Amino acid sequence: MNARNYFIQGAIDPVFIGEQIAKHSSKHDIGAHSIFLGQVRADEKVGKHVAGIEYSAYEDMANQAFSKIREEAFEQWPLNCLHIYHSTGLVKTGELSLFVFCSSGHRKESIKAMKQIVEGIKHKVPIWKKEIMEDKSVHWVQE
Amino acid sequence: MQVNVIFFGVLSDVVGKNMLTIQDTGNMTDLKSKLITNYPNLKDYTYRMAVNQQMVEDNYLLFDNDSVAVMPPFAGG
Repeated sequence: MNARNYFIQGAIDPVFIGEQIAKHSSKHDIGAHSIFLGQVRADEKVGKHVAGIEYSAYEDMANQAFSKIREEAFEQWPLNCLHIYHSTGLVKTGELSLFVFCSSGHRKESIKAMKQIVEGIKHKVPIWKKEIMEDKSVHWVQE
Repeated sequence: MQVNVIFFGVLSDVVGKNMLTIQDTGNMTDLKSKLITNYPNLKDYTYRMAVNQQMVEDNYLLFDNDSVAVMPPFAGG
């Protein structure tokens, strides 16, 4: 039903992010890119640090939700491009789990759009995270 | 008639499985009460439900082979 897949297995490689930026150099109507990167924090809980986060999702429904967020952003803002990548599976502390990249002719639109897109991803997409602590114990994140 | 129930996030640990089948249930209210009878610990958790990937309310009617997702609050990013 929905062909588009927004998920990347494991962490998002910073090299991939660089390549995505470089790909846009041929699009000469773009004047501004906004980039949001989510990174796994080493939160401390009851004396133990988070070593990584295991992401899981209802992937079919999540992909539909990501597509809807994209469609709404394009309706609301004059964006040239919008790309979203989210990790599934294990992402270690310090690695990247979310990469959102939107581009427009001028800075204001891409900055405003980015805030709304990231909030939408936080609240409308069926994704869950389980913190894996240093001692391998686990803790579901309940937001 | 039967529906397939899929559990996500912490709820898959609460019920001890990712998926199960429930027989003879007509709507979401009935399904919820059957689930809580079988897995009383579910009462301690907040969750929302989707049928065939659409969010639904309690009085939603269920049909044979519907796929019901039981989902804790979303926590992406």
